This record gives sequence, C-alpha cells and structure tokens, in this order.
Amino acid sequence: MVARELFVRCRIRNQISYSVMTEYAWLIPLLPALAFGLTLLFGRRGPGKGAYIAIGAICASLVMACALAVEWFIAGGSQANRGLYTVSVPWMPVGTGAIHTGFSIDALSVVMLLVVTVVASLVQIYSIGYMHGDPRYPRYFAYHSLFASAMLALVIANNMLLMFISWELVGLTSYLLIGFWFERPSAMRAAKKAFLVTRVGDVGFLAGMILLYIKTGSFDLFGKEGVFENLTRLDVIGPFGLPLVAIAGLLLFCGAVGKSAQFPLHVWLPDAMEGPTPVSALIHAATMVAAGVYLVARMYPVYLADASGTALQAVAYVGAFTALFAATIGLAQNDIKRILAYSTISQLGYMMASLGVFGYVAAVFHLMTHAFFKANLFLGAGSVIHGTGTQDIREMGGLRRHMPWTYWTFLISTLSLCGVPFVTAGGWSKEEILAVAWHTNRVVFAAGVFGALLTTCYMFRLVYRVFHGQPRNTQIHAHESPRVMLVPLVVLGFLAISAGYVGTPWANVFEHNLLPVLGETYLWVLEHRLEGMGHGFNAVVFAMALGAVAVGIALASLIWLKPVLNIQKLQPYFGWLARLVANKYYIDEIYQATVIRALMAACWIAFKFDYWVIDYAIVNGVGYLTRLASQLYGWFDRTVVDGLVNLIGWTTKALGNALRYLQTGVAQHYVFLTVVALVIISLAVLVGHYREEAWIPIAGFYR
Amino acid sequence: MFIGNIKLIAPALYLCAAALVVLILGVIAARKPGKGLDYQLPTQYLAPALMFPGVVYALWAVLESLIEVCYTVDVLIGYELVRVPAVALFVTRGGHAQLTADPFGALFTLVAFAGTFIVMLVSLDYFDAAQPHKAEYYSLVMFATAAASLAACASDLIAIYLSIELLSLASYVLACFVKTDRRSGEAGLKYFLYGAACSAVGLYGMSILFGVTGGHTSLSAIARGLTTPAAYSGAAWVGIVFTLVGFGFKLALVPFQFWAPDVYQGAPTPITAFLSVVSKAAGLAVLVRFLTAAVFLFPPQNFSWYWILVVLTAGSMFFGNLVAIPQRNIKRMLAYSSIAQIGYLMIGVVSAVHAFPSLERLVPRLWNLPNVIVRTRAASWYYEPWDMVGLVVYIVAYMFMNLGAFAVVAGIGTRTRSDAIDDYAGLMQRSPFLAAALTVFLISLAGVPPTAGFVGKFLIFGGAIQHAGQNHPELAVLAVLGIINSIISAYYYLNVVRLMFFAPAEDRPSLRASLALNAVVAICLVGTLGLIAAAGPVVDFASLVVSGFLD
Amino acid sequence: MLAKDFLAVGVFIIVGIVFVAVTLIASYLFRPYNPSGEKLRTYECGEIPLGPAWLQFRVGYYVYALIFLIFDVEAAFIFPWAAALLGFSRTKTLAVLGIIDMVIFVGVLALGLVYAWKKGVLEWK
Repeated sequence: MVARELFVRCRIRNQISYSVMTEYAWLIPLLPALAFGLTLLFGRRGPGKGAYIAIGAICASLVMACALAVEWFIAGGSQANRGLYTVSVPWMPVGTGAIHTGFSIDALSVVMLLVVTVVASLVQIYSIGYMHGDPRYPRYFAYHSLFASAMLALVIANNMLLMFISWELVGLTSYLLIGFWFERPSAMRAAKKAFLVTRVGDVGFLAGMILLYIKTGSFDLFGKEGVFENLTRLDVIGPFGLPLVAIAGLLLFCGAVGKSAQFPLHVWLPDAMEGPTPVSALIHAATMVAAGVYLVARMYPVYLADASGTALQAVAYVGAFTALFAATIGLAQNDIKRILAYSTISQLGYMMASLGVFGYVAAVFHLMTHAFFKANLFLGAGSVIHGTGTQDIREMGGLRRHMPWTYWTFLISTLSLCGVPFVTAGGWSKEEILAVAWHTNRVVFAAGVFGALLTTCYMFRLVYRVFHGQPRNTQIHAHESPRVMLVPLVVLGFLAISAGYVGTPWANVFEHNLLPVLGETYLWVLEHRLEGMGHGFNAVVFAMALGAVAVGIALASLIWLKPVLNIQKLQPYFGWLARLVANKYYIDEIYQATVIRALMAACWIAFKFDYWVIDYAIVNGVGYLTRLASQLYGWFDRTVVDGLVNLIGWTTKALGNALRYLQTGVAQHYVFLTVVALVIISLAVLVGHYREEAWIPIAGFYR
Repeated sequence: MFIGNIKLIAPALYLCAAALVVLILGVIAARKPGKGLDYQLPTQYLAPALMFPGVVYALWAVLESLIEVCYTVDVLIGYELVRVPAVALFVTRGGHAQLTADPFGALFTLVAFAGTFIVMLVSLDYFDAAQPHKAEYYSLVMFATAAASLAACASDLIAIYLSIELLSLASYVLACFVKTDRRSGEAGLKYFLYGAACSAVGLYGMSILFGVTGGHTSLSAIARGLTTPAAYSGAAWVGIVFTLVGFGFKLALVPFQFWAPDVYQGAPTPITAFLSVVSKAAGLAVLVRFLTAAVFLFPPQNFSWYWILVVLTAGSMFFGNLVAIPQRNIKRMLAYSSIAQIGYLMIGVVSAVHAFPSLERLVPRLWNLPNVIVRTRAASWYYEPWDMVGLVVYIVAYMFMNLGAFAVVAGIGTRTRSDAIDDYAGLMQRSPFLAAALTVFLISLAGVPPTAGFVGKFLIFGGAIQHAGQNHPELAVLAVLGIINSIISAYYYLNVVRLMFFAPAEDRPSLRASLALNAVVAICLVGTLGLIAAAGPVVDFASLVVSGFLD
Repeated sequence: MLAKDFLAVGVFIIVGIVFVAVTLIASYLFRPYNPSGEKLRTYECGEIPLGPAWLQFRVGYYVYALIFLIFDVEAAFIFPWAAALLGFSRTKTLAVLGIIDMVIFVGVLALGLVYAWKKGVLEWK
C-alpha cells in the first residue's frame, strides 16, 4: 500500500523525463558530505584508509554532474526548464514569512559543477600518491570531501544565505587544509592569515547580502519574489552619490576580492602554499579562489542593473591592476609554488577584469580553462616537489630527463596559461577576454596584453629553471612520480588543450548556452553594452596576443635558456626595482606597519580600558556592593527561606514515610484496602449521579 | 461476520506463532542443555531474532494503518449493509468491530513489541545461558506481548477481557519465574491473588454493562446503550467503576497499586521492566479506548465519574512520588516511580476525555444510525487533540527511559548481586557508561530538559493547560500538580545520581558490561536523547496517529 | 419469550437432579458395604486431608487433571462448533474459515500436548 502510493507519486513527478538528473542535482553535494562524515568517523578502518570513500563519493558526484551536463545541454533539459530549474523549500520562519532554501540548476551551475567535480576527483586520486604515509591521511580526505561538498553546494545554491554558508564552509576547509601540517608554525600562521584576510572581504559580502535582503525582502535569487526580479527597488541614490545597487555590487565585490585574492587582499594566497600541494591545486588554484569570480558572475544582474557602471568599473580596474601587479611579482620569486600562486592571482585578475568589461562569458570560460591548466600546473609542481624534495627552483634543473611525463604535461599547461592561440584552451579563453576588452575598455586591454607578456616570461623562466639546463644541486636524485599521480596529470593536460574548443569564436557553444543564464532583462542590458562588437574572430586581438606570447617566449629563452642577455648587468640601474618586486612591493610589511599595528594599538587601548574602567571600577565595585547585599540576603535566606524549604522537604519526607505503611506486604490487606477504595468510589459515583442527574441532557437530546 | 483486513493485527498473530515455535523448539532443545539444538539454536538468541521481525512488522502495521484508516468499506453482514472503517476487524451484526487496528492501537502495539525486544535483550544479559525453562520464559513473554498488542486494538469487552487476561496470566508466571528466589515466588503469588480479585471485579463490571446496555459487548454498542433510558440507573455507573478496577489494576493506578511494589521488587528485573512498560501500555490503551469509546461522558465535568478520575490521577502522582522517597531498594523505588508516571499519563487520559465534544460526532451515535458507526477524528475534531499527542509521545518516551533504567538496574543487579540504592555509590568509577546512562534515564524520568521525558511531560501538561483554557480549571490544577510532582520526583531520582557520581566507591572492581547490555542501554539512550532532537517530526507523527484514533 | 426459554432450563435442572439422584441411589443399592479408614477419609485428590497446611504437595496429579480438563473442554467446544458449521454451509467462505479456525485451535492444543509430553507430565512416576 505504502509502496503503491509512493510509486504513483513518483510517476506524477517524473512526467518530464529529462529532468530526472536535474531534480536530483542536490545529491551531488550531498554525497561528499556523507563521505565527510563517514571518513571522519570510520576513516582509519575504511577502505583505503578512508581515501576510497571520499574518492568514491566525488567520482559518483562527477558521474552525476556529467549526466546532468548531458541532460541539460544535449538532451534538452535546458529548453524544457526554460534555462533555469529551481526548487525552494521553507527553511526558517522569520516574522510572517520564511527564509527559503533550495537549489537551482542553470548553465552556470552545471559548468561549475563539472569543473569542481572533475578537478576535485582528479586531485583526490592524485593525493593517494602524494599524501601516501601521512599520519593524518584519513582526515585529509575527510576535509577534501567537506570542501567538495561545500563548494558544490555553493554553486547550486539558489539563495544568498546558503551561498554565504557554503562560502564560509569552503573558507573553513581552506583554513583546515592550509594548516594541515599544523606542526609547522609557518603553516599555522598561513592558515590563520588566509582565514582572517578573506574574512575582511566576507564582511563586505555579508553587508551586501543584507542590503539586498532589506531592499528586496528576499534572500532568494530567482523567482518573482527573488532578488533579481526586484533590483529596481535599489535604484535610489545612496551614500557617496552612488545608486544603492552599485553599493551592493561593490560590497559583494569585497567578498570576491577576499576570496579571489585580488589586490589589496591578495596577501594570503602566496602564504597559503604552505598547505599540501594537491590542496593548492584544488582549492587555491582551480576552485575555491575562483568562487569570488563565480560570486560576481552569479550576481551579475546586480552589476548590470547599476546604470552608472561604477561597480563594474571598480571590478575591471581592480582586476586589471591585480593581473599586472601579480605578474610582476611572479617574475622575481624562486619558490615554484609561489610563482604559480602569483600566476593564479594574476589570472583571477584577468577574470575579474573580464567581468568588469562586460566579458561575462569570457570570464566564466577562462575560469573553466584556468581550473584545468592551473590544477595541472600545481599537480605538476607537486610531482616535481615529490620527486626532488625541494620547492626552490634554484636547486632544480634538467628534470626533463628524469620526469618526462611531468615535463610534457607541465609544458602543455604552461602554453595554455600563456595563452598560445589556436592550440590551447587558455588561448581561446584569454583571447576572448582580450577581444571584449578591445571593444569596451582599451586600458584593460593594454594591461591584459602586457600581462600576457609577463605571464609568458615568468612561466618560461620557471620551465627553463626547473626542467632544462643542468642539475644545480647534485644532492638531489630526481625520480618520476608513481602512476596514480601521473594519470591525473595526463587527464588534466588533455583538458588543458581540449576544453577550449567549446568556445571558439566561430562556434561558441559556450556562449550560446551560458548567456541565457542572465535572464531576458539583463541579457538585453548586456547585449546593449556590447553593441557593435563583432561576433567571431578578431584578427587584431589574436595578432597582438600571439605577439605578446612570442615576445615573452623569446625574451625568456634569451635570458634563461641560452644566456644571451645578461640581466645581471642591469643590477646597478634597476636593482631597487628587483628588490621591490622580490619583496612583493613590501605590501605585507606595509600592512604590518599600518593596519595590524593600528589594530594592535586599538586592542591595547581597549584592553586597558576594559581592565581599569570596566573590570576594576565598575565590575568590582558592583561586585563589592552585590556581595554586601548578598551577605544580608544570605542571612535572610538561611534562616527564613531555607527554614521554609526544609519544612516543606521535611513534610514531604514525613508524608512519604507515613504513606509507606499502607504497603504492609500482606496480600489480604491489599485486597481489603482495594475493596474499601472500590466501595468509596462506587458510593461517590452513585451519590454524584443521583444528586446531579448529570446525564439528563443526553437523554433529552436522545428523545 | 466480516473479518476485515487481518494484516493489521498480523504482528500479533506472527508473535503467537513465533512463541509456539520458541516453546516447542526450546523444549526439544532443553533435553541436552549446552549441546545439540540448544547449542546451535539457543532459545535466548532465537527469541530476540524472531522478535525483531515482529518489531519491523509492527512498524509496518502502523504505517499501513495510517493509510487504511482513511478508508471505509461497505460490507454485507447478515442482510444488512454496514459501512465500517477499513481498520475494523471481526465486525459483527450492527457494524460492531471486535478489534479496531487504528493507528493508535498499532502504535501501542509497536511500543509493546519494541519494549519486549528490549526486555529480551536485557534478559539475555540477566539470565545465565544455562537458565532452566528458557523456552517457557521467552514464549510466555511473547504471548504476553501478543496479548498486549491485541488489547491495544480491542474494541469489544470480550476481546479486551481475554487479551488482558492472557497478558495477566503470562505475567503471573513470569513474575515468579525464578523459583529458587523466595521473593520471586512471593511476588508471583501476590500478583496472582490480587490480580485474580481485580480481574473478577472487572469481569463483574463488564457483565453489569452487558446487562444494562441490552446485551452488548462491543464498545460502540455499549456507548449507544448507555444513552438509552434503559441505562437510567446507578447500575451502569457501578458497572463502569468495576470495569475500571480491572484496567486500573493493570496500570497500578492508586488505589489499585498495592501489588506493584512487591511484585516489582520480587520479580526478575527484566520482567519488572516488562510489567512497567508493556503491560502498562496495554492497560493504558484499553483504558483510553474504554473511556472515549464506551463511557460516553458529555460534557465530562457533569459526571461524578470524571471527578473520580481527576482525584485518582492526582492521588497516583502524589502517592507514587512521596513513597518513593524513603525507599532503599532501587527496584522498589522505580516501582513507586512508575505509579507516579502513570499519574502523569493519566493527566493525558483525563484531558483526552474532553477531546471530542463535537455534536457532529454525537449525532450518528445518538440517532442510532446503523450505517455511520465511526468517523475519523481528523474529519471533525474541534480542538487539536494535544492531550492525546502528549499521551502517545509520553508512552514512547516512557518506554525508552524506563526500560533503559531497568536495563541498567538489571545489569548492575546481576553483577553486584544487590539492588540496594546504597550500593550504587561510586558507580561512576566502576562503570562510567552505565552510570552516565542511568543518569540520563533518571533525569528523563524526572522530566528535565534535553530528554524524551521532558518532551512528553511538556506535551501532556501543555495539552491539559490548553484544555483548561476552555473552562476546565481542574486540568490546570492537574498540570500544576504534575509539575510539583516532577520537582518532588527529582529528589529521589537525583539522589541516585548523587550517590553514583559523588559518593566514593569503596575500592570495588569495575563492572564489565556485556554486548547485549551495552546495546540495550545504547538503544534506550538514543531514544531518550534522540526524541527531543526529533521532537518536531515525532509530534507530527503522533498527531497523525491520534487523528486516526477511532472510538 | 419466558416460558419457552425457561422450559429448557427447567428440563435441564430436572434431568440433572434425576441423573445424580439415580446414580447415587443405584450405587447405594448395588455396592457392597465394607468400610475402612482409607475409604471413609474425605476425598482430597489423593492427599491426606488432615495435618499441617504447610507441606509439599505432589503437583503431578493436578497437572495430569488439568491436561485432561483441557481436552475435555476441547471436546465440549467441538460439539457446538460442528453444529454451527452446518449453518455456515450456506456460505462457502465462512465454512472454510470455520474449519481453518478449528484446525488452528486443535493444532495449538496439540502443540500443548506435545509440550506436556516432552516435559514428561504424562508419565506417572
């Protein structure tokens, strides 16, 4: 019977057969969450010390995400659901209404789901080899599962509150994983720094979210009552002469700046390299740091609704500046992971800049390709570190011969990162960004091209130093990594080339699918902004990009491969510049001297105030008076109140003692007492009955 | 006669069959203890193994009943077309069902089954593997449970009497099961003597009702009979009083509680646990059904009857709690405590009497319409029946916490050979898990927040106060008395906790709990602590069950 | 209604009294009179009726009697059942159910017999 009811209900729900996967998309984040619990509880005894639980879950999520992508893009799920499938259920009652939660599926979430599950599963597989023999092996995979779960929830959340919760959860896992080897003080410090710095941005996110909630009355993004439909309510002038919607956009962007390590909150990301390298690959290169970009992309209607364009300009310039700024720092670093970290900051800057110049599709496209090649670069770096035992590129060299698989995949991804046109995924996405910038904002375009040149320089410097030339440290006997680490490298290397072909200028499937995400109103705004930009291949942009890459490779080869140009000669003239860049423009020191010192001073003042005024004068004073009063009261309590209480307690006990003598232990007495009680009750009932004739109303009713 | 959907009481039938299997296999096996069949298929494992599917089955029956209760069926009985609810079983002429497997009855069945399963696990720990008469023990427990299940569904005086009597007879034997223990024998004999007397009085009351209402045994027919002028005599009310003696005895309601302390103390502890939960659940279900279905009080406060119930409720709470204080034996203390607990549950029963004063419901009954016998409560409730929800939730909570407490007491009793409260001193050092668990159970019995007992008491008192708002001040008084009693009870419950945690252990060895004991305690802990976490769904489910209550 | 119903009761009472009276009178007429101490003692199921009450009874006899009683009652049940089954034969289902009921009833009693047997109650030791 029960089964039959359920069956009928299922039949009704599944009338649209190609929404099956869409409806169950909430399982995708749920599986890793379960794996987190299982691994944490039973990890040590679980299969593969818990690793297989986590990997099984993420692979299942991957399969589901693939199925979802097929259903959505190929089987027509997108058309069937008009580009957006969203489910809301009441979560918390608030006042007269309720806060809803739920999930939504659109092209953007599907792409993000795919990227996250692909990279996460590959990185977790890679970790089997990389983390082999670590004492906290199960915990590592548990954190990974938690991260995957939170990240996947973030990308399918349909309301800001759930987004914020997942956002903080990924931050938490980032903290846990950066500080995974918490025996190292540096790792501990880095974890703390990452958490605190991103938190500064999160305050902005929270404030923006609350602003949107106050004005639109909803945390939900979609639907008639949702945020996006009601943005006109924010179209009033607020502080600084800006429309409120621009303020909201800027506040949300603060969150993105923190999470995506944009200037000036970029300082945590290089330090975050203290974590295990696969963590850097997954969280601090491919997925979590891209969450800031995702946030801006998800909330893009807020930016488009801002007619003044202030918020987007801020996004564009912060992004472009970060792209250049980080690239210059990358030139002067010697730690393989730090170079890649600055490269990540720089590429995230590209994405932000692209969003700022209305390159919505280009940004998400670059996010995707970047996830693949950057994850590959980090995993390659991990392989190098695994094989050599050092992170300093000054000690490496000539590894090409010892680690051929690592070398070739690393090279492919480097080319992709540099944006070699036509061949690599990164090429397609970067050129798309540049093409949009060329149309809307030439400053950003110039920064982008110059940034591409710098990118090529520092990446090839890295490649030459690590893989070419002669070994510099004879102590190191490099060896190729185990197969379990190489397979992910190869897969990601393949993706670093092939993923770009979904978005070629001639047949831009990616754009075709992604643009409807914005909804009709905002799509119209976006198209209006991009009016006049020719679709298809932009030869000028491609030529300039190709030129930048070519010049970059040439410069790098001349300086570091065949030392034709000797940069040591520039030392007397530009030595200060080199020092400035090598010390990351002293930003950390500036923060130390200004923000942190000011904070510390404020803390000290607050502490002293607390100690002397609050604690000593007020609290102790009140305490003294209270004690006096309570001593008086205590006397009263002991004699009068306690006396009463004791009297009651004593009476209770005495009653209990008296009553227990009813229980004589003789069965005859029991029966006798019961019969007496029965007689009394019967008499009482009868007396009551005849006195009141209570049931007459019924009899009357009956007649 | 229309048999009806027999699947709904199939758990009880299954249990009877299982009991027979246990009995016969056990007797065959017992010829060579420790060898052959007894070695390969020991009764003490076979019985819980057969019991567990029964629990699952009972759970299924609750769900099935929740669906079935929404339907009615038209059946031809004799030459008369009668519309009866789909959960009615063995419907006789006039549309009177002998069993009504509504969700309420099904839930009490589930409580009885789950309770018995727990009791069996406790027995596994309590008795030696070489205990004699294992087969009889387990099959009697199973028969008693089946009887409790049938009692919970019975809506006919004969069915009620037979099932209660089967339950009682099995209980008498079980109470004196440890033949070598004099106290156990004494308990069984006292139980039997007292039970026989009460049962006789109850049967006499039923026969009076039978006569006064024109020769009917079905509760619905009696309800109709009591509204006719033929019942215009004191005899009917005396009959009801006498009938209730039979049920009050099962519940150990003051003044029919005399048997309880001696029997609880003397009987083997698992059987004490069984009597305190399963047997009481059955009595409670019967009482509720009898009061709401047959004794038709409208409006209740006009009947002296109702006031007697109120007085007995208050009396049970006070008597149980006050006498529990000076007790030195933990089983005896828990016996008095369970008398008090019945008092709390009775508050739920007393307010349940108010729960259907809708005229709409009276009409078919009073006009003697043959076709419309019963309606679901959901169709016509006036007040949200919180009281019954409280009752249902509290009986579930009571099952977990009381069985948990008895499980720990049984476990400690077998290991220290003592049930004296003083011997619980320093238990924390000797067995931290058991001490902590017992603390939780006792706190729950006292009704302190993060526990199931709190949820149940909250709902019961809340329901009473809700009704009190409709001009029934006595319910508010009862609720306040209940709260005062909870405070009194905390005194003796926490006394045990104090001894366990703060009194020094006199250098005694630590206790090793068996797997079965740990499992039982863990199950009860999860239930006791989990109920509050799942309070929302539980209350929803309980109101679903209550809304399907048929009277 | 009264006359007819009570007629049956009256007949039953008279037949009962006559049956007992006839049996007693017949035995009084035919038995030899040869009294002894054992024979004159009050009948108490084979126990000595005088003496202290706190002594161990031999329960075997009672158990034996109980089992006899069970099957006696079973037989008493089967007669009305058989009579009622005739009336049921109108509707086939009821008849089949009636038979199944009785099979279950007898089956359970048979299991009881097996139990008693296995317990050695049927052996007089």
